[in-house]
Amino acid sequence: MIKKVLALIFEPLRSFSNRNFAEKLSVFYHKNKWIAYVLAILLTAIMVFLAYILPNL
Amino acid sequence: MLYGIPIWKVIVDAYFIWVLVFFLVKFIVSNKRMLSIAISFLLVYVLAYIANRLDLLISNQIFSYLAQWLPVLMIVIMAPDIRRSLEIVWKADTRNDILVMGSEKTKLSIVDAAIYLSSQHIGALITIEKHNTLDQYSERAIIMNSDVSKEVLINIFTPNTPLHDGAVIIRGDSILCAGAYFVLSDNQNFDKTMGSRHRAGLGISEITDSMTVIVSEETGHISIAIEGIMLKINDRDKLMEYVNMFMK
Repeated sequence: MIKKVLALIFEPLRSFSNRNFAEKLSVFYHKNKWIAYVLAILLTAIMVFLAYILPNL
Repeated sequence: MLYGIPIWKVIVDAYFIWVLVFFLVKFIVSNKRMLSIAISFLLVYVLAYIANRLDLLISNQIFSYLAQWLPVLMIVIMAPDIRRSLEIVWKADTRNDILVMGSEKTKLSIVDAAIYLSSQHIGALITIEKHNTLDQYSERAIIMNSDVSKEVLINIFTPNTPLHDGAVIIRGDSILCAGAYFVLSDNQNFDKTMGSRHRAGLGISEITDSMTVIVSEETGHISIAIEGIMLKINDRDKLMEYVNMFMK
């Protein structure tokens, strides 16, 4: 029973860490350098929206 | 005017933010360890936000402390990686647009050298550059800028000589450098007994579009690492086929 409860708590974290997101992202970035530009534009757009547009809506 | 603010101010502000965000993104994504730390930070900040929104007494306190101290902890723990990432951020993106691959003579020299080294059980690591530049590795190695020849390659990898331990990087028809060290692959799917030479070859193939010919010192087997995959090569013709395919 305790084992099942513990598995329920830790399994999502373990499956998250086993997916190696960092490695996949890093490899993807090294092969597609343009992704940094796209990400920067997206984040800037979000920040501009939050700072200038959202307060005036 | 955008909600009473001059539009040029918004544009300049957005541009400055874009520059900052771009360098930050490049800084984080350029290094695998930095990226995994950033993902863990994100997780902590998300949990801190949830704890704050739900007004959870203990979690809220702990996570707010963590959120405050994590950046300081990161600087202390990750100092060498931060230095490396900062170096990369300021470097121009040096992807080779004009691709110059080796001639038939170069291909033959690489294959002949690999076959000879294999027969003598001499370990070797020969990386052939394609689009992604390998300058960051060659800068820390011994620059050679010599023509590719079977004899030079054999001489480089001869045991107990100063250059035999690292990798040779080949760009076009020339040996760019020798004694280069790559980041080792930490791919869990590969045999744990696989040597550091093979891991280095695999590591560079995971992060660049290069191809690496690896000769095992223990077994004399030849392998090639490309696109994060390692293939064992049984004979000269097969090796020639792969080198031809890659360098066409």
